[in-house]
Amino acid sequence: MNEVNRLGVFGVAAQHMYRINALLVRSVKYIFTRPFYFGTIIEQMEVIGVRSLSIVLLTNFFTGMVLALQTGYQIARFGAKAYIGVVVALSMVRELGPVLTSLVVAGRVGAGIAAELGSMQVTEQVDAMRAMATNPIKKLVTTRLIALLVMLPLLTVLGDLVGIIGGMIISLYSLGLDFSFYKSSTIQAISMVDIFTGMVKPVVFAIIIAIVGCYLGLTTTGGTQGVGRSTTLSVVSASILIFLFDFMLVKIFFLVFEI
Amino acid sequence: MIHLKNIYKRFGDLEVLKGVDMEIADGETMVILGKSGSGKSVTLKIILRLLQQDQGTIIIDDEDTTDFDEERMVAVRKKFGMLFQSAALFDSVNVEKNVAYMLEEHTNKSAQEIAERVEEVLSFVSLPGIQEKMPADLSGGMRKRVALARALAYNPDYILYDEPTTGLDPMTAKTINELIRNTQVTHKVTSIVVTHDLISAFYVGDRFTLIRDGEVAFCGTPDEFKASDDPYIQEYLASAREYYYEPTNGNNESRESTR
Repeated sequence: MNEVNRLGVFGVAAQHMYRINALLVRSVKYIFTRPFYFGTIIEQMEVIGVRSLSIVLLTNFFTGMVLALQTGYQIARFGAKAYIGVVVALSMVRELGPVLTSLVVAGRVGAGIAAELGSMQVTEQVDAMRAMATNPIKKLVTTRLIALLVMLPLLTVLGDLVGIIGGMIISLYSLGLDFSFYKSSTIQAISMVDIFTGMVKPVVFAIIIAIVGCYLGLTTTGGTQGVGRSTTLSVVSASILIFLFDFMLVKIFFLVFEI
Repeated sequence: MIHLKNIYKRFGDLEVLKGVDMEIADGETMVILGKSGSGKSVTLKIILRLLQQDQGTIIIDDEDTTDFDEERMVAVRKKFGMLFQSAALFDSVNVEKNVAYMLEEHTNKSAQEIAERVEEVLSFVSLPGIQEKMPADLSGGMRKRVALARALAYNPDYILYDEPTTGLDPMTAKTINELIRNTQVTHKVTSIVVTHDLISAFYVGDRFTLIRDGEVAFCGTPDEFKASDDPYIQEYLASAREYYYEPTNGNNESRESTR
């Protein structure tokens, strides 16, 4: 409350933005300096990527199916049912795959990062790490950032694929489309630009999830209540930022690629 | 040698340290005394730069570390072991990983050598064979002893103890005090012990520093402390005598007298 009185709401927001950017710059810088903590990075990849796989695949699979059902019956009225594969594939690759995967990971992993680092902060484990001559940003933030930068695009690719398969199942068995037609129309519909734009998004979202989760975790105060607050705030903040950056990226892609 | 010159530290509107001067010679054990909230632990954290002082100079082994950044502090912190009030063991890894932390981080020792050193320091704190236990499975006293083993594993020149006996039963507190004294004798370390437990202070301390209202109110030997005619020190000793040395056991007489 004192901070808000002293700096005002916008002042406090600006201060947080500055600190988040400073954390990002430092954690990126540490990617290229020793020690590299390969063991911790692999461990985090497993925690972040492998353990998120089932929920990511389920979310995208059902989204692909719902998308095919909803749009299929609508566009069938205009005699455009054959294009359902194109709609599902483009929606999944360009928009729904990256955004849904990132939101699921923000909820599961971002919250986990904030809770773990927040607990470490309030129980002096982060101080202990510093006292033992370890840079906690390098050990805790950079490792998680690298793990997310590798795993989120991979999860997105798998999510896209499963979403398209979900849409295909509905198209074949519910809307009565032909498999080879669905496959060829889907492949023809997706261009390299679509794949590129769909892959840039999870990279940006990975940075958001890692840095927001780590920042809120490492700045946790107020004991267990503070940990809960940081955890909730990390999910809310990361989700809002994902939507915001998604919109900005789409605008940029439209300008750059004229798509 | 550690030399603090004119240290100031403020948290918001609260000025905790107001020009603290302190010099700790090699091989001695300095006990920092003071009421709760008097800035004892803050002083300890400022030495390791876990907290940044607002003003003042810190000299460690004739090196002015006042303006060292995190990277330069790494070499300084390697000379230290610190026992935190909460023990601050890493709760996601077992005792062996906790104790081996600095050896794995900062040496090229083989796994066999590290395991032997871990066994050695765990035996020193009378906890052999608990390498596989998780911190959550340990009692408060065991956690402090494991934290001491962790602080000793890297052969530090200095050990900082933050309230080592707080929250422990008298028997366990006695064990910790004996360990602190054994550590002084066998490892020849320079120690700073922050405590408000006068039994512990007189047992381990070569010199006392009393912090009162953010300033050093006394610095001298335990005998000088006892002989001081400063009313505050006499009151401090009297309170300690009443609560630590001559407990009333809550008998009827004492209960009556407090009514």
